[in-house]
Amino acid sequence: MDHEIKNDGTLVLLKGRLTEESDFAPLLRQLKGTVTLNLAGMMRINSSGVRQWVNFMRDVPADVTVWLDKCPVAFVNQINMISTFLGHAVVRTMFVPCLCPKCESSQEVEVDVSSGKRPTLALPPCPDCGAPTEADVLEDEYFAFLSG
Amino acid sequence: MLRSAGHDVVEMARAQDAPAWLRMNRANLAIIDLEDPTGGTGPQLVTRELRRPGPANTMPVLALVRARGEQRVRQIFEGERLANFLAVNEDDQVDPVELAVTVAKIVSGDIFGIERYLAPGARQTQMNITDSRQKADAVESVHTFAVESGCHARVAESVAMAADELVTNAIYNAPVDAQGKPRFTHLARTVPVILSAGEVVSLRMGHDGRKVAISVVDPFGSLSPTKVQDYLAKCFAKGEDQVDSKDGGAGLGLFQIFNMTQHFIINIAPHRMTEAIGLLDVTRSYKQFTSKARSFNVFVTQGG
Repeated sequence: MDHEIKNDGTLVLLKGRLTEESDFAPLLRQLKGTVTLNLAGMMRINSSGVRQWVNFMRDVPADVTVWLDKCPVAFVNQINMISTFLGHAVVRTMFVPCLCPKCESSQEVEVDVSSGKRPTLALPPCPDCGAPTEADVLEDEYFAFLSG
Repeated sequence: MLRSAGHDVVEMARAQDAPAWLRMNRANLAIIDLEDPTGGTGPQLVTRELRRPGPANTMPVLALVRARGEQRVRQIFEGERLANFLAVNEDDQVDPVELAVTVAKIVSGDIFGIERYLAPGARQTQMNITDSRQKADAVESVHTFAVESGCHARVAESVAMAADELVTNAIYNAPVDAQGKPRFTHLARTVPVILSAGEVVSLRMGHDGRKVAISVVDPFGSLSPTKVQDYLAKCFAKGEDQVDSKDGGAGLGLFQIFNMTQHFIINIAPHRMTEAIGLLDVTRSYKQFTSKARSFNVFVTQGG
């Protein structure tokens, strides 16, 4: 998993697969203050990757605040499955998959959950046919890590 | 359906009548609907009876599970300690193929292979693995196979990640020495492992237009049903020990496979072979894939 640090260290773009090969030690040494991790480029997570991430979150210094932006579906699934996955990090935005029931076109919509509460979804129309779209997840389970 | 397959079936309309019958009779298999529609405790009485010392104690149990959700699954692994359950779908039906195959496997002891879960003429492919560094190619092959089989993009990702866990288990956890001691379990998953020519791990994929099946076979047979249940119970309990901190793997592989497939099956011939199978319906929607309640089986045979 690669990382790119921007905005004087306040924004980190994470890209690639979260697996046994993911080494967060170099990134960990550079974290300070409030940092936003942009996870839009994160793909595929296996069980060894889960442990690498959990250890990374555990080792983030107590005086560093971590915001998570653009959490992909696979990442959200792990938040709901693994009790220690988030550590002290806070999810600010996440992707919600949606599907057009008419033409089966699928897209992902970024949703703000910085309040920590389950969002009221206002999904955009299908970009292909204009029909209303539906969340392509079981909302009770997908947003289970949020309150309300 | 079971009668037409040649089985002699005794039905109990009320679960609470079953314990008395079980004390007086023998059967090859008990099928229990775990959710009593009247809210009664009949199913629990039956499972309790089957655990008591006596003639019914060794009888295999196949549970039918309606409720979905983590808490229910946790209860099944932790409390009821069931190794065989099939999901009852929203239309109140059990997948007829999976029911017929599951019953036949329990009764006959002939347990290996993905073919029995797929329709005749299913497209199948196989690759052999002897080096952990082949895993990435294997996972990509499974992903491509799932996409070509018509799986939703996110479902294809799930299939690929299930394959990742299955192959990792077969290469790092399954191999044991002559004394049954694990050879590579303690290794970090970044340390390459090369198996000998006689220790080939086989990855198989199948698709019949309705279902996708993936399986990984190892020639060790070192996995035990108790270990499977313990790991799944630990992971569903979501305690501080959910992620292992010991050397080696994270202890999450079986849990991930259970969540990434709709039917997870483990076939074990002790000391000879283990086959882990993941089955998924080909769906056009990710929600359809995630909404289906999960099925799970562990079969053990002394035969081939």
